[in-house]
Amino acid sequence: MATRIAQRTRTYGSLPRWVFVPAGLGALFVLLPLAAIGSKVRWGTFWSLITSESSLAALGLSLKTSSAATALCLLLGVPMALVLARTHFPGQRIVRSLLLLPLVLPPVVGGIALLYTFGRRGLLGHTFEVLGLQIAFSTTAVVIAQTFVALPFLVVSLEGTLRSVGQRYEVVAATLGGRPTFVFRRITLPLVLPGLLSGAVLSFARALGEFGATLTFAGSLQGVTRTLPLEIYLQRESDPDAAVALSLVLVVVAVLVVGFAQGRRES
Amino acid sequence: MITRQHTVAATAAALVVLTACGSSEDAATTSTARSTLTVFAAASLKATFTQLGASFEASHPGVTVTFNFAGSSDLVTQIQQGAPADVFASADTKNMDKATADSLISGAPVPFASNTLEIAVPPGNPAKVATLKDIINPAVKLVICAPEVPCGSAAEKVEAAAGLAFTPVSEESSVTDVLNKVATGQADAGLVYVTDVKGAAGKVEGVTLPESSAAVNTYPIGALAGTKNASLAKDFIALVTGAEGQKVLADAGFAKP
Amino acid sequence: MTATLAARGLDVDLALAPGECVAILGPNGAGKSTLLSVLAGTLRPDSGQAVLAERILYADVPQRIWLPPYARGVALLAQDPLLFPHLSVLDNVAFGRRAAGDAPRAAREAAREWLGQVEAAEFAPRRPAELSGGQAQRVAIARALAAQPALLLLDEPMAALDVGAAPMLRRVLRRVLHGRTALIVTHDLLDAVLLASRVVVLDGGRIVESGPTQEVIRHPRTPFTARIAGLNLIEGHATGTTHLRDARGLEVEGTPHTPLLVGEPALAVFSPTVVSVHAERPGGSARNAFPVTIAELEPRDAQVRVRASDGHGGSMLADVTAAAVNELDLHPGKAVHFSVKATAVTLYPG
Repeated sequence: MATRIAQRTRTYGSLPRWVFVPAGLGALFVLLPLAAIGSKVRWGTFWSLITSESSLAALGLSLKTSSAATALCLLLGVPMALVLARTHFPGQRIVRSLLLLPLVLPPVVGGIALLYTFGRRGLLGHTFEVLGLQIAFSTTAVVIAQTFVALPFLVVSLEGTLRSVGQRYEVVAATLGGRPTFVFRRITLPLVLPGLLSGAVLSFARALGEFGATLTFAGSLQGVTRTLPLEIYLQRESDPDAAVALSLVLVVVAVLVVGFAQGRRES
Repeated sequence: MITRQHTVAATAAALVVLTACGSSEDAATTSTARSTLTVFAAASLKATFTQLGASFEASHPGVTVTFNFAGSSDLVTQIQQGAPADVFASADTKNMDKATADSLISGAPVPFASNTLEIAVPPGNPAKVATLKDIINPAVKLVICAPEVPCGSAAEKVEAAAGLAFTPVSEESSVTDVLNKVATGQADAGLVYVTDVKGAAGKVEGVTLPESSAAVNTYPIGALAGTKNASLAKDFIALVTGAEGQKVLADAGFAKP
Repeated sequence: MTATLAARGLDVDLALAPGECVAILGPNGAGKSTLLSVLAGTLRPDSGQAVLAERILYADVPQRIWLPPYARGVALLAQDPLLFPHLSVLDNVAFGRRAAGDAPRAAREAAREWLGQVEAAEFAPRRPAELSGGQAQRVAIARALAAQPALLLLDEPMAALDVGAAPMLRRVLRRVLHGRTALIVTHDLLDAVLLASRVVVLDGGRIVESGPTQEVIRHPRTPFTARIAGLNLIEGHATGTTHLRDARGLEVEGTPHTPLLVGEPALAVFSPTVVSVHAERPGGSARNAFPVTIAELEPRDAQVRVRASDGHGGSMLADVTAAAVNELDLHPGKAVHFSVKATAVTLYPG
């Protein structure tokens, strides 16, 4: 049997040549600062810097809280996306705009808003305080802050996928006797899995890099609330080398996460 | 590795030269007409220096004083990266030393004020904090600065001098954040500067700290070696260290250097 | 069932006997798909009620009832097989059983049986993307039947297939529809003849004809039915026992099937095979001659079907030999005469 070498058929794409120039500039614009960080790293002390107690605590806390935040985003975001994409109610446009607000809000503003809700004197925080639930200055606060900023990413990404996939298959499944929850489990979820995963990855990346809201709302204490971005922010006051080293770690983690998402999408 | 650093440095340098060419145009217009004096000062000096800046402009017609208030270490980093400044006032000697070590300051910096710590509590003092011993109580939510920043290292010294161990719920990167958390009632107590409490009168109450004398932050000021307005810079420093400047600083709560 | 749906102009009243397969014919936009959607539960009617095997599907009096699709026992098969792309063919077919609560193994067993019935057993492990249109449609039928529906609805199942795949699907359908209560919407006469015992014609949202298949085909009562039956039909009023005049004044002479009363509505029907085409108006006895303009020539085996417009918006069909097309130089746009012997035209009361 002859071996078939997979070949890409080269079709005409009608892409104007000059597009490569601004595209290249844009790429350079993003990549140069990353290269600048890489060039500033003192490789001799790199390992000891990133494995110091505070660095490891920050990295571990970041990964832990971002994962928790992503899980929360999935639990809340999937139903939200479903309702936005598949139902129709008056005022839906406005509700959607409001739900996507954390995308546009400066994270610090988000932090202030969370403070006024969950803080000691906040809307809900006061009740929680009375019940003995301390939210401010806790790791829970970090997860809340990260979820707040990352949720819209998941909702937007998933809503888009839901809309493009449409409901035809769900309707067929219903005529075959599938009750709504059964259909959701066996048809809807598997069909939107790619969109769901890329949305989850986006949320995770956003949660990982969250800074402003965390700082304002949760505070900064090693091992409890000082995530990697906060640690970098602090280190640059006294040890710029550590700040650069940790920044590089964050960049590498981000590249890995995004790269993983790309791989899944293409498969 | 070296070649890569060189290429990156070359590209970065090219960009810096392009921008520097732009800004040097501005600096070149010194002469008589309009001058700008750029002062980099620690965030805690905002109120006092703004006042002194206005006074300086009044006594030096044609001169505009522009300020850059930020954390002292941020300012040092900017100066090291070539930010144009004429005067630098730091919140502690550690950061000024960084600048002098890089030969960025002309001459020797002059101490012009000092600041000590005080306990700030929300209005009404809900946790009934009266002494340093009260704030180590785990039930009291204490917020302090992280040791990496000047007010944090001062807090550490106070801690050591009193022989206590703080259990803060948060270590902030700037004293403003500590102040805010106390003012909004998120924290029961915070360690901030005396000047901060005075400046935030009404939003926070102060509880004097006898142990604060263990940690005094001395504020030095100096002219930058690369300044184009050497005489103006000298004048400004004279204003700050002179009678008028010292009165303004004292009113705000600063102590003598 | 009865149903009205103002938004789509639907107003129907229909009943099926158990095990009966009824074909629904009608022009585009007549409401055929709407009817099926109302029965399947994907569309809510404005009023009406439907009962299936003693289960009320929907009703508005004495109280509003509306069963969701999954509770109806009605399976819908459309032009697009819509096989679930992420499941294997076997799991697709097993879906209905799994939804009903069967264990995976039992569901798969049943699925294999049904795949055998539709001659698609060998596709069991494959993915839907690997199947051709005809194969996918057969699997879709198996999937619908495996769900054990009380009523099967088919919406033009052969429409998206190429000509080669249709015969096999028809054969499969003939086998599986035997004894099953089903409604099949189709454009193709052959489907109605082969698969259905009764035909219902829908036009403008209303049922305009209904009856045993052979009867409706041979004696169509609407132009649309006539056209798909491949017959010529002229509607008008009887002007005598053997004459009819249509609304535009066209006179037709024919042989009455049942005695006509003067003035009553009547229909004249004749097959294209008895129509002769002439360049000039022909003379001769008892001949109907209609001046027409040729619209289209359609080769059909050894003959050519000529479709012509009568100048008043109606169509007429004539079958001629290819040689005749050449001789008379027939082409679209040419004005000719169609003539038909009165003995070849059947008149019915309308």
